[in-house]
Amino acid sequence: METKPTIKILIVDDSISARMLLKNAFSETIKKYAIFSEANDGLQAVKIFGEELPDIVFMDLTMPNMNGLDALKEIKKISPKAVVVMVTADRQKETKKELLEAGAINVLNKPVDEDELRDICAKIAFGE
Amino acid sequence: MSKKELLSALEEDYLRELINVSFGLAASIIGDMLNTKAQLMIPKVGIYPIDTLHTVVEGYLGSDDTMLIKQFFQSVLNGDAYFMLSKEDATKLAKLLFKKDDVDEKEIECIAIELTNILTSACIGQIAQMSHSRTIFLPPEIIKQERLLSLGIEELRNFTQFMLVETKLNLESEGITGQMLILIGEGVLSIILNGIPKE
Repeated sequence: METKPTIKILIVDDSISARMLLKNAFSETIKKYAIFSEANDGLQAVKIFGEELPDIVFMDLTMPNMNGLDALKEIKKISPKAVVVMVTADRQKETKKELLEAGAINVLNKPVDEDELRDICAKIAFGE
Repeated sequence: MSKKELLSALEEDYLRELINVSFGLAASIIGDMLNTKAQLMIPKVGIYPIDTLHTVVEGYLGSDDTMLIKQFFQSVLNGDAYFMLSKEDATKLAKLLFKKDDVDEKEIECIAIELTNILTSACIGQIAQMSHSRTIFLPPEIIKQERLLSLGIEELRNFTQFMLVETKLNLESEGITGQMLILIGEGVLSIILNGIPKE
């Protein structure tokens, strides 16, 4: 029997609405192959990352307990090859630069553009 | 009545996220304008019944130092936005914008109006975009505190709620605080909350 390829996606945001909006923005194709996990702050994200080793992490920047930048650095310590996409309302160039330097593979502005999300997922998950 | 009685936890979360996204855009515009990194924090967002307006506003106004700027928005999404900012903070901003230590009244008023315009446009514009509706902004103007405090039943008859957003703008070593009040009707609140994602 053929096994379906799956992609493990971790969504990190302290806002439940933001997590739902992001989840809804994924294409049906991605949703078909995805297993979603969620975390509501950086601390929880690092813990879940260590346990589940997701293929992609989509993470907010401004969160309580541990912010997205610190969580990104912690995740990179666990797995230097971790694929982390930061999702933030902060549109400033300096912020984007700082996140990319810390190891994020991309920085998306909120609200997330569905086409941009689809392109990133296709590239990472399916090598398109 | 507290805001918790007006909004469910999910509605409150959605409203906060909406303001967070819109103020991210506003911070970027302010940062570019002042040529520095700007961070807009949102310590408080809430919806309150219109009959508590005077009580809430009195807590922020009262001092002669507080500047009050009003901006109307109309069309499908309509209401009145007010921004409250201390003159001391407006002066700090004017000094950063005009790059000099000695700023005059006109320059202070100019930055207060500009800041209101940026915050209102970003906030209401984002709400309009996320709710697929439309709005048109009228130019902001500085008004006397008494005009807001003396709004009577007749002037408030089109409104059922107001949204209160507290902001803290961090610029270099400066911390600037302000409060935005948005007076809206029942229909407008429904339009806003209609954007809540469904699972």
